[in-house]
Amino acid sequence: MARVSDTPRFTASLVDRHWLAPGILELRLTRPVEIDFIPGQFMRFAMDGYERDYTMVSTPDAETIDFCVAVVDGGRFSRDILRADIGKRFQLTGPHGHFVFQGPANPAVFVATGTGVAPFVAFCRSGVGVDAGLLLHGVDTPDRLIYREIFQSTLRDYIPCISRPFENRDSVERAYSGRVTGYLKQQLTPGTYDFYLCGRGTMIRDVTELIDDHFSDSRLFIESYD
Amino acid sequence: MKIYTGTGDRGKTSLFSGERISKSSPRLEAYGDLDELNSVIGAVVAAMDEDQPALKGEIMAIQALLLEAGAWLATTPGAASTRFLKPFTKDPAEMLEIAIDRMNAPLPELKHFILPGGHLSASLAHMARTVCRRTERRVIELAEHEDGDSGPTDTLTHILVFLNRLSDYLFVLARYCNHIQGQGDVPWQG
Ligand SMILES: Cc1cc2nc3c(=O)[nH]c(=O)nc-3n(C[C@H](O)[C@H](O)[C@H](O)COP(=O)(O)OP(=O)(O)OC[C@H]3O[C@@H](n4cnc5c(N)ncnc54)[C@H](O)[C@@H]3O)c2cc1C
Repeated sequence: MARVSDTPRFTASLVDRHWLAPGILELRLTRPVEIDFIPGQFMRFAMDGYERDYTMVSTPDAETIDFCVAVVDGGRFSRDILRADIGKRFQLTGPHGHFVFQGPANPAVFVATGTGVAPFVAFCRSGVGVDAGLLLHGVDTPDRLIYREIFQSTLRDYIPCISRPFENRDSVERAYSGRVTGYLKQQLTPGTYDFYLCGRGTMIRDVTELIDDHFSDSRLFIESYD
Repeated sequence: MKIYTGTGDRGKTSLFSGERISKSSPRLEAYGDLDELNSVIGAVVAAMDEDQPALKGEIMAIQALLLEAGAWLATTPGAASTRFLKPFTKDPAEMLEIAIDRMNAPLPELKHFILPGGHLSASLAHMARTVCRRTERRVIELAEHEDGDSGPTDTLTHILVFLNRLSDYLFVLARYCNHIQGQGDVPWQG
């Protein structure tokens, strides 16, 4: 595991920023040539007086390093990134983290809420773990189903889990009405899996309990955004 | 980053290699004791005088090695996540042997049993030594439990040698701490 002093530092400039969905931005930054990472890893943005972590959604060999960022009310990075001019230079350290694909030992079940899909976008774009992978993406409304086409075209199975009641159900293929926990409890065939959980801590805690109760021989890999 | 996740509230935890295991499993016992050992060694450093920066640096390097060993203990042998771990080789144990010889050189020859005690730093070094011996026993238990007939991995073997040597290092360190404090060993009057 890396020591703090070993972590490489980079400068990267913002080249593009656009809305992927209501409240979710995609950022593109110039890719420092020296940077190398494994899909699923994140970079730490050293801002003025604070730091924030964001997971790459791009592949290690792409021309830019890309991130998807949930813009939250009162969030410091949320505010600063909305104000940033194209060309702004960011100080980054990384890559950090161990949330990477662990090999095909057991069928993979990827579980994400919101922008927690970021590492799975990188997996899909790099072709790791996708053949046998199932992704459950938990959102409150269907318009937040970011990167849907990538998931539909690369993963073995992709189930959007939509927690709020919504109209026009046929517009979202294979949608499950409810939370990811509901799907896991009611629909996932009993068995031994490699679960990869990414997103807010409450989802991670709830899904972990469920795994301990219903899929106890499985392996569990976690990236908490809290 | 939040300190608590709530994912271990019901007696299980995740290994670095993903398995959910009971907090009372031999693997957890082993790296829990390693963690305790590292904490006691931290107390040794804290109790030493400011005028020993080189020795403190050496001990803190040992603490870093214990973290690396702990990461190996928290990972099932052969798992894909071992790619993130630094190889644990024979070198750390050899480094300890050199350090033991260096600290031992100015010490009077041992002609009697000594009591664990003396200066606070020496007493804590003795405590660390006993925790180190217990950790070693736990790692042996793990090796016996996990590896069956195939025997322990090279990494586990290197960690065991390191722990065995570290107990000796901590014994000599305890004596050395008393020596530099000018108070010598505490002899057993039995
Ligand atoms: C390893 C790691 C990787 C991460 N990767 C990503 C990523 O790829 N994309 C991403 O969007 N975030 C990611 N995060 C979370 C990110 O680092 C920030 O915490 C988040 O973007 C909020 O930052 P902020 O400065 O805008 O808000 P803050 O000033 O930190 O928080 C303001 C308030 O908003 C709440 N809040 C924070 N996040 C959310 C949310 N998603 N929904 C609702 N409320 C929230 C906080 O609890 C707080 O009350 C990651 C976190 C970690 C630890």
